[in-house]
Order: sequence, then C-alpha cells, then structure tokens
Amino acid sequence: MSENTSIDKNNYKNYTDEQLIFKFQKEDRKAYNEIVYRYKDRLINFLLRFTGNRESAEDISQETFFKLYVNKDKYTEIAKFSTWLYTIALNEARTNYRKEKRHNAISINDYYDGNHSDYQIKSNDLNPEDDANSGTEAFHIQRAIDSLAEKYREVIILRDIQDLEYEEIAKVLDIPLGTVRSRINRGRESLKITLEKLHKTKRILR
Amino acid sequence: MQEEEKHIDIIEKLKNLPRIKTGDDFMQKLESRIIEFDSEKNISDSKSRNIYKEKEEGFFSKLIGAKRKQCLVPAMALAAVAVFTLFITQFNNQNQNSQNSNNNEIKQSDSPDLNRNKAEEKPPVGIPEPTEQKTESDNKTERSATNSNQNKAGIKEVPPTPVESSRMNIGKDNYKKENSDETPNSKKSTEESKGIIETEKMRGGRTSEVETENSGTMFKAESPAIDGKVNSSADELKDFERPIDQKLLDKLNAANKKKLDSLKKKMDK
Repeated sequence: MSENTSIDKNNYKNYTDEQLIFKFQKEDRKAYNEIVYRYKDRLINFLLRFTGNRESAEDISQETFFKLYVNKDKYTEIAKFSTWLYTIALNEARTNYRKEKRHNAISINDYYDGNHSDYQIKSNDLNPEDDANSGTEAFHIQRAIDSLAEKYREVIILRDIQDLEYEEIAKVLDIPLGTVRSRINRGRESLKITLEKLHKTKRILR
Repeated sequence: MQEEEKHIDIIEKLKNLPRIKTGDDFMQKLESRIIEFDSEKNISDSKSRNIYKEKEEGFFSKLIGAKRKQCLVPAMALAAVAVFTLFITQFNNQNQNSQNSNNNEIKQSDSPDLNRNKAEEKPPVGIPEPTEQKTESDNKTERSATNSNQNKAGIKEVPPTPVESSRMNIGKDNYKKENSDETPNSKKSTEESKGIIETEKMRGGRTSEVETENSGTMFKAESPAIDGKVNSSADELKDFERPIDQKLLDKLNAANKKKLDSLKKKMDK
C-alpha cells in the first residue's frame, strides 16, 4: 500500500487538491490515495490536539477519509478542498467528543446507583509515549488545550497549530471573521492563564 | 497583528508542539474498510437490480419463464383459446335463450289481443257454396269451430282422421279454383251462389247467420291453401283461425253488395 501511494505521489504531486478531488470524482483511485497521503498527518495532528487521544485521533481521521471516499460527489468548487476536509474532520471530532462526554456522565451516574462494573473514569488518554513525556512542556500545553472550552480550542488549533487563515477558519466553523478573531484572542488569553497555573503547580510539586 | 505579538510566546509554544505521524497500518485499515464498503455496495446493487428485474418481469414471463417451462407454451395457448371459445359460445347461447324467452313472453302477452282482433276481423257476410261443396265445407267449419272452442277452453287439438284430411284437401283445391277470379269455374260458382241466395231469399228472406259465419270460416280455412304451405291436418286446423286477405274480403263484399242490390231491385219489381 505504501509503495502504491509513493507511486501515486510521483504521478499526482503536481496536481492541486481540487484537481485531485475532481479526478477522484471520475473514479480515479490514485487521486484519492494522493489526497490521503497529503492530508493524513495534518489531520491526525489536528485531531490529536482536539481530542487529546492518539487512538481517537486515528479513528476519526480514518472515518474522515472514509467519508471523503463515500461522499466524494458532494464536493463542489465553492470552497477550498482543505476547508471541506477540515469541516468533515471537525464534525466527526465534535460528535466523537460529545459521545465520549455522555458516556462518561452515564458511567458516573451508574456508580452512584451502585452499579460499579460500568464505572470508568476517563484517563487523560495518554499513550506510553505521552506518559514518558508527562513532565515535558508539550504535555502541559496539551493539558491546557484540553481544559479550554470547545469553541476556543477549535480556533486555537486551526490557527496556531494548523496555520489556517482567518477566512478559512471562518468557513470551516461557519462563523463570521470577527467572531474567529475574538475567539482566538480569548482562547490565547485563557491558554496563557491555564499554562501559568500549571507551571505554578509544577513548581510547588517540585 | 498586535494581538499576535502580545501572545507570541504562546503561539511559539503551540507551533513547536511535536508532530506525530499516522501509523503504518493507517492506509491498510482504510483500504480494507473501503474494499468492504465496495463489496457491500456491489451486493446491494446486484440485489436491487434483481429486485428491479423481478418487478419488470410480467405475470406470463414469471409463469412460463425464459428457461423453465418453454414446453408448456403451446399447451397454454391452446387452453387459452379453448377458454375463449367456450366463453363466446356460452355467451351466445345465453343471448339466444334470453331472446327466445323474450319473444315467447311477447307472444303470450299479444296472443289474446290477436285472437280478439281476429274475431273482430271476421267478415260478416260470406258466399254460400254449392250443395256438395257446401256440405264438406260445413263439416270443416263445424270442426274448426269446435276446435277453436276447444282451444279457448284449453282442450288439446285432436288431429283429423285421414278421411277428414283428404276432404280438407279437396276443399282446399276447390277453394283455389274458386278464388282464382279469372278462371271460368269461379264465375260459374259465383253465379251458382247467387242463384242459391236468391232462392233462399225468395223462400223466406233469410240468409242464415250460420251460413254467413260458415262462409267466413270457410274462407278463413281455405286461405292458407292459397299459399300451398299446409302440410299437416293439425296445421290446417290452426290455419283456420288466420285472417282472410283484405283484397279477397273487399271483392267478396263488393260482389255481395251487387247481389243485394239486384235482389232489392227484383223485390221492388
């Protein structure tokens, strides 16, 4: 598979995203493979920062590319292809995040009803790799991002980690440009505050 | 931009976050999922195509089938034709029966009136026959009268004996001769009848009602013989009741009037 994708890359690397999707709409599977190759790492990083869990991020990115495969004909040249793909990924991430949130709430209620077997406290979803880096700066930043409200977290990740333009973020989230700017500022402010708090506690613990 | 400068340390920290890569099996997982989806899609497509084909197939194609029961085609065609012909014949029979029953009903309803009309149409005046013929015709008329009475009373007609039938035939022949106006025999007979009536009148001025009636019935009885269609005695008896032709009646009436005029003149003299 990796060999195939490398061949596809050589053949289709000069095409733009939009050209590739139009090729794929004409049943060109190589174009699809090229799209996946271009976006899989970008998407998984975005989703990892959004969910805070690598496994969930992989699952959601798989689902996103699968949806792209199934609904390829729904794309029209109104927006950039990357915007459309990020929108799909973000919607998937939101539904997944809400599902997990609901599941945790039910589990805690079951515990208080006396049903101990279903009780599961959500771990911080860190891989062994993350556990090893638990004392690092990245770990604390991820904790700070996780603590942000959903609306601030989305814009911060899209702007400061994924380097998307304000206009593009506005299109992905389907909100006005001014709202994007204000949310980014507030998100950064709150992130700064949470990071400072985390550093303080780290110093105390030391 | 000023806001970004304000939070530049945080932005740098976020941008310097470690980047991860997808696992090695990421593409394989995706590929297997897509293949599964495609196979399911193909199955569902084929199912929907089959359903569509089944829907497209009509009743007869299902019954006969493209490969299954081709040998049954001629037999089924014959059966269909047989059913069709049976239906048509039964339909026609029913129609005929209904028509016949309607006609019978109409006849039954009309017959009393017709009989009445016939009775009314009987000519009041008849021509007396010569002596020998008169006796025969009298017998006939008597028989017909009794028969008609019997019919009215619901008694069945008794077919005449061979002797009677031969007599009736003779009577018919005579009537044919009499009614052919242009023949000399007819003239003779009319002259003879004139003479008889005259003698009768001279005797007592009486022309018996029986005679007139008989003469009327005689004409009635012999009128079918003109056509020559009477074959059996029973039919003849029935034919006695038939109305006399209007022309003949007119002619006879005219002859009678002349006779009456001539008699009146003679009486006056």
